[in-house]
Amino acid sequence: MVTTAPQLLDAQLDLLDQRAGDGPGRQAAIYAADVEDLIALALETLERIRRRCDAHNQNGGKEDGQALLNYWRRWHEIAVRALAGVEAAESQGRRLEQADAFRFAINEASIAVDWERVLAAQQRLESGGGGRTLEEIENALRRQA
Amino acid sequence: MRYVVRLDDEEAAVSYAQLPPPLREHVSGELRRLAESPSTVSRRAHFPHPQEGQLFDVEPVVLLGVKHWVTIMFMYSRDERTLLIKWIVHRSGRVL
Repeated sequence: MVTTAPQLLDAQLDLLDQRAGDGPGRQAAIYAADVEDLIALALETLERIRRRCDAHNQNGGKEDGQALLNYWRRWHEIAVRALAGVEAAESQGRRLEQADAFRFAINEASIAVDWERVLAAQQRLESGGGGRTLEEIENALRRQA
Repeated sequence: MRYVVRLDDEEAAVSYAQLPPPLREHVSGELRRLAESPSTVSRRAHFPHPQEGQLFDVEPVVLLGVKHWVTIMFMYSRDERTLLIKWIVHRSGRVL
């Protein structure tokens, strides 16, 4: 039997889901020792999702874009749970090599969670209708202060 | 060439204004760094949309014992003179 790319991604997300545990109640005791591995698995899984999206864009969008966004959203949900384990390990004084990269990856995935609003922002900016320069915003904030 | 930085009024500008002032100052400086050389400090986004744009991870900063991670999503304007900021994500956590 041949394993397809979507099956592989689903299996990897399932594994990540299982390793991330079920929330702050369990994570510190059970997973702190494995937290570097957990981050590595999470980042590797996200890289697989990125490659799927690239392939989708290169092939003229033949795959279901909504299904791809759902991969991002599922990864985000798991990663936020895994972050509790990362924070627990850090609170015990552990320095985790990829902790910054992991948090930036969660930031990135959170964009998928709000995808419709991101697209709406893009459309406003492209139409030239919405937006202020950084200087205009800073001046307004200074006036309010 | 320095790019003009323009933020979407309903999303990015609101997120920016809601940042704690010391963090906002840091992000402001980082946006200016981005405007100087966007291609060298940003990375491509990978979402399933043809005009998804770029991601810029602001240099993490610790302020009053709290570390901040900010990611900014932007795209280039059609005339390539302006960076259009679509979205700002902010995450923070206490550090030892």
